[in-house]
Amino acid sequence: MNALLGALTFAGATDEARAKARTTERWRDESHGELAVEDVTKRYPRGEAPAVEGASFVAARGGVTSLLGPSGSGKSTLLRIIAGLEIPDAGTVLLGGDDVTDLPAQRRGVGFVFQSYALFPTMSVHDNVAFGLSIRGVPKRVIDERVRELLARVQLGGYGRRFPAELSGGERQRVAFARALAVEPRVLLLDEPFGALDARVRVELRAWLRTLHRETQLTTILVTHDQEEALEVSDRLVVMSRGRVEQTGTPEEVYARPATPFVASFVGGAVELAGVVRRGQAEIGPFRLPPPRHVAEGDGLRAFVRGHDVELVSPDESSPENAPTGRIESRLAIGPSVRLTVRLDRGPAKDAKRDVEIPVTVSRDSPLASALARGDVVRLRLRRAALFAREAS
Amino acid sequence: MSPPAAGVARAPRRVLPGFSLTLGTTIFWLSIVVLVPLAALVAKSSEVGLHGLRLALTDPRALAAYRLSFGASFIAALINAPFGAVVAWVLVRYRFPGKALIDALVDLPFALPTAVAGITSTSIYAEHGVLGRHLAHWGIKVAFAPAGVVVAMIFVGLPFVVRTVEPVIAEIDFEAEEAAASLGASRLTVLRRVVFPALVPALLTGFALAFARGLGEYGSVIFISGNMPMRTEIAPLLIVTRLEQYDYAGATAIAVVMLAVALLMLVAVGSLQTWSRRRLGGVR
Amino acid sequence: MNPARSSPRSKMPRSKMPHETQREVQRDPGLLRGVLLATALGFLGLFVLLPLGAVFVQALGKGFAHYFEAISDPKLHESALLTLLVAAIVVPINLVLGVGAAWLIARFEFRGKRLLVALVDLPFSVSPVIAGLVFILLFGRRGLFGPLLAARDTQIVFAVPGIVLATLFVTFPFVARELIPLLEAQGVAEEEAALTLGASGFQMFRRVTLPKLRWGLLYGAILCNARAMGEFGAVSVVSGHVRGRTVTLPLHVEILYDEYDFTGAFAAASVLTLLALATLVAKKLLAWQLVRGRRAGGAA
Repeated sequence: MNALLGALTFAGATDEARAKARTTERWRDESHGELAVEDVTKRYPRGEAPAVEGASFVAARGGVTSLLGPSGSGKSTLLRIIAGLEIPDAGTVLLGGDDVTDLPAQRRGVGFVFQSYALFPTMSVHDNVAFGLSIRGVPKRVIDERVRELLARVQLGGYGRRFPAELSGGERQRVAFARALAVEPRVLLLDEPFGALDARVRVELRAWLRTLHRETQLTTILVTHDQEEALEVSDRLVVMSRGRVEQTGTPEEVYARPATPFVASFVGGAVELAGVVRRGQAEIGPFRLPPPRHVAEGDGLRAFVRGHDVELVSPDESSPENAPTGRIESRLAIGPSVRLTVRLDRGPAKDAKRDVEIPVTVSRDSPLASALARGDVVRLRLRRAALFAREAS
Repeated sequence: MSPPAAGVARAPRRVLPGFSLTLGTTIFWLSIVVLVPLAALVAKSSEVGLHGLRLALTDPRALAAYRLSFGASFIAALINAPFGAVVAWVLVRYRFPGKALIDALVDLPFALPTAVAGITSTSIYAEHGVLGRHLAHWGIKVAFAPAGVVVAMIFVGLPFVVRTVEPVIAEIDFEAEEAAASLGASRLTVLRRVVFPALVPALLTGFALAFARGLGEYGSVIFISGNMPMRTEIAPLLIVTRLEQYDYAGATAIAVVMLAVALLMLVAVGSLQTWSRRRLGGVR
Repeated sequence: MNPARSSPRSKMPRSKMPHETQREVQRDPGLLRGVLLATALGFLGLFVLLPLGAVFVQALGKGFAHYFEAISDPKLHESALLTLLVAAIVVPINLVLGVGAAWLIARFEFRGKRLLVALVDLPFSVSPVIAGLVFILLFGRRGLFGPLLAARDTQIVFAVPGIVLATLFVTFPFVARELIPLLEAQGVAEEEAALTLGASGFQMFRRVTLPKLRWGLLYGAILCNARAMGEFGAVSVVSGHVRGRTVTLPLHVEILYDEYDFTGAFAAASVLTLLALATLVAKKLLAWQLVRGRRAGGAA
């Protein structure tokens, strides 16, 4: 942002905010992060469970951090707390090292983009984008110049005189971005910004957002329930469920090493199977895997298996080990991949309490996939699964 | 992580501005214009005492006035409910020339000063009026008779029923009607079994609103009723009569009774709306 | 059809949208349709259209000359002026306080809110006669503040201030009632956006909230004005009917009628009726404007 529009300087609310707020010790180290949330709890008057409970995370400067979770997980509430639109019952919000928990929304210097766009319907596109600057008393000439630049930036050059009602959803949301960027915010907060758009526009804007972010390098927090969006756009994920932070990490870490059963089931579309630790190995149906740490012989396990974690064993392979057979129950061709549901043949009768069905995702181009049909018998190998000790109940 | 900040109670703060300002002005103004005056009424009635209240309740002239006020507004609301529902149905579901005009006309009783409504209804139903003339042939007397009171109350109550039922008809999920039809129900059965039950709460609310409006109505009634004590004198008029006789206590006693009924109606309408919201909420 | 135009929030005004695409199954059979239509039109004709027409028939019954004579009566002009004065005082006060009450009720949760809403609505369900009576009890010669006022030689009841107070009582809920659903439907996101962009409370209100409310405000003002100009019961009780001083237009109608000057009474009534008709036209136009604005606003 500064690199882009550095030529134009004006007194923002951010300076004022900075002067007012105290600097906390642990933020002396500038490299730490731009935004931190510590032990934030928010309870609504009539809600039984807290909307947010003891949530903490740090967002790196210049990165995109996604708050990912199902609806009702508290992610939007947490974002609104960061913006000052909700007041937490407990906890601290730190912006650039300053405690802003008690700072009103007007003086936080954040840019907020709403799912419903929240454009001012009675103002033209130009006046919408100019709003924050005119509040700050920036001269009209400067405002006009800056609005022109910003509209060009969001690919809406020449749209200044139109009204929000005359724009498509994607265009409106880009105006909302321009309006939020106009005040040179310290952080950009996006609350399901593409949630109200149809699938194609959503994918387009996602790519556009990545470009925008690359150019502005603005610290960004994205709230989304769409894991594909989160995995694609962000540097860091904060997975939330029922008001609590379940896991934070890079998308790769979260995908590959889910920290809790919730994350394992929510990210990556896994199927849950029951398992047990026996003879020093994790037994999931007929499969054997190395056991997780901190489990004892006989412990129950929850295993989360993704379709990509299972491979078809070629019939040519000699002496296949740990590769049970099963019958294909259904076959769905979904774009580039084929999703099979395989019902495994029962192992030794005493072990198998019920049938185990397992998803298998294979590439459409793989020689095996095209030949397979419902009812065929295949041999499977489980490459990996996310394993958790079943809590004693 | 830093020690949990829980336990540090924050002063209740609101994000949107203007809470204290609007709370202050609203309560201040409400007190001056509505609450203090009504409190004066209650204070005066305590002066009147229980004995005075009982007298006001049992005085034959007052009793006759209550009977007429309650009876006439009940009958008027009873007539308004079905006819108002039909008007609402026609306005929402049918398209016909002049519909916008008819729609605007429904609000006329809201907009027309009650004194005007009073004298014009009287001119219609009086002995030589357009309708009164013909009704007299049959020996039916409307103006200067209890029937006239009912006519005036139908006029003022009508928009309450129509405007309460109308949005509910518009909100009826057409898919419910389609589902019923696809299950083999005839149109009349669909109306009876699917549409009508959905309208019941709104109909009751509209009925209660029209009834309450009729009870308090003064301007349009006093011209057509003839104001004969014991026969065509409504309760609000009796209040005015007592006032003109400087019988503040008597006027207050009747007013307190009417106010209590008005409050009861308010509570009834409130719970009706809560009930219907819950019911509708359950369907969706 | 642009899918973005129907964002989740725009589903709200469905009730007011014309049913242009009526479903086949919702079509009533011809006979039923005819019966219902005839019933509705007959009922409205009998109870609404006929009284409306009668006003003008009676006013013009003795010819235009008589009508114009009655219309140009200075007493009628005096009462009309008083009516305008009362409305000019009452409507602005109600507008300002109505906006405040609507903002409070639509935007905040607080203890006692349900009670407050009920109290705001209270004047709707109180008989106008009682609305007049309470001010007599307060400010009348034998009322609570009667002696105090007499000592200062000021009069509230049987004078213009009493008429204004009684009118304020009966019109209290009008503006707030119109604005509350409007504010609730619009949601808070736009106000929140203004706050995050640094707007102060006043700036947010003036530049974001007020422009969105303008049609609703006008709508409320028109309804409030109609009631203020037409109020009879409450004003009748506190007015004292002092000719040339406390007689409003509706009271003037009553006086002429009681004096058996029917042409005069109906001529004055015709003025009020025209006002009512103008109110209805304005209301209808504004309702269209509101639905349009709400659709655009709801989607924006």
